[in-house]
Amino acid sequence: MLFLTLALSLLACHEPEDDADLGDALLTEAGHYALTVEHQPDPPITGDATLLVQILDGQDGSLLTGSSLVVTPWMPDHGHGVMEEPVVVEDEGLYTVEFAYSMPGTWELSFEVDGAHGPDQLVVTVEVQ
Amino acid sequence: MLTAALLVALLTASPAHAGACCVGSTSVVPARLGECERWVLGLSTVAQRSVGRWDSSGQLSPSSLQDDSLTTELIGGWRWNRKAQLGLSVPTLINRKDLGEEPIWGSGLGDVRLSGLWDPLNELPRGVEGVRAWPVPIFQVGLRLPTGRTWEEAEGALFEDVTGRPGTGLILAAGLERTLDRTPWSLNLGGELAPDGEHLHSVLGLDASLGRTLGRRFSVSARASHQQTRVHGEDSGATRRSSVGISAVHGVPLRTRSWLALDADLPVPGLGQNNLRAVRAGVGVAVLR
Repeated sequence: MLFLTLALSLLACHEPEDDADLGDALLTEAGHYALTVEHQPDPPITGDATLLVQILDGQDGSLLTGSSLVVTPWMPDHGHGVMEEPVVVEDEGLYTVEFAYSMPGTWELSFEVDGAHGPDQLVVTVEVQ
Repeated sequence: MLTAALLVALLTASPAHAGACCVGSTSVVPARLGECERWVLGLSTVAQRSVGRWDSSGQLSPSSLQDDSLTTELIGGWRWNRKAQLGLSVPTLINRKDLGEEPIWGSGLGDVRLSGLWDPLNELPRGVEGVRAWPVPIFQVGLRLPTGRTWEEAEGALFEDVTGRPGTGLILAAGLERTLDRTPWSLNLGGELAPDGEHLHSVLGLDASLGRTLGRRFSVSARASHQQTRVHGEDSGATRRSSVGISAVHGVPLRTRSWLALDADLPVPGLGQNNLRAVRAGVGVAVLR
């Protein structure tokens, strides 16, 4: 699963609260939210990609709806992003993000969340084949 | 990506023995003029085919993307005195990307490159007047103009229509070269600095060549190069690649020059990072006076 890949790349992220049951979710930088991210296809390959994202409360792990989510893919080693801005659609707390990786290599996915606890963000690293 | 290719072209434009008068007929690259040559006009084509990639840890990795290109360059050069010459390169690119379905194509003008080369010392044959058995230095300064299509300007999702990098690049290079009997060699260090959005993009390359002249009209040479690119700034990253190549040149003094070249990125873990691995084949022809 990509969850493992993402988790390994998140060494700088905050540890979840002891009493929160966040499962595989990844805590945002300020700890306001936790994201579950499923990548399709898995492992990632060049071309079309879909992310299935859920936004959880960073404290109690409850599912949040109605938040704003902006996803920005970036290739730091080459200094570029993707051609078209990712499209984000929410359906009852499940955010579907569609975009296309333009080339193989190491990509960063920046998730900017703005919801009940204010703005927060999460950056994960993905190896695209 | 393109910057790396341009740097390779820049560095290989420093044949080991072109400093001596009228040996230009066996120079490795036509843009470099011999002392008695005044100008050159040439056309070269290089086909590149991807064979894999180095991942972020330097390991060899397959790529889901077949990334091929054909780069055709119009090359001009003019020597206005014995120690200095100007060069111009106008590339056009045809890119082919294939994810295993229908390949997609893109093309366009690349980044035009202007360069000036300063060749301050005479390279005399070994032992002549007992002087200068040492290598002679060469210095190059140039500009890469952003005439190509950058990724921000392109429309293709796989960057198939990207033909250039953003910003004007400052190119600096220095090298040593020497011909010992019929064996020319050269060592060059060069790079480019260019603004890239809020960051600074740099390319640094090291290139070494060793050749052999065969009569008055032929030469062959082998070369090895290593280069790395870096985006300086927050969350910056780097790419590296290493390659080897061979070339053969045929020249008629003060008339024509033609050449063939083969080049391959080395399939060795650790000699590259987060970069495409490719093989390349090139052919070119030039007239000079």
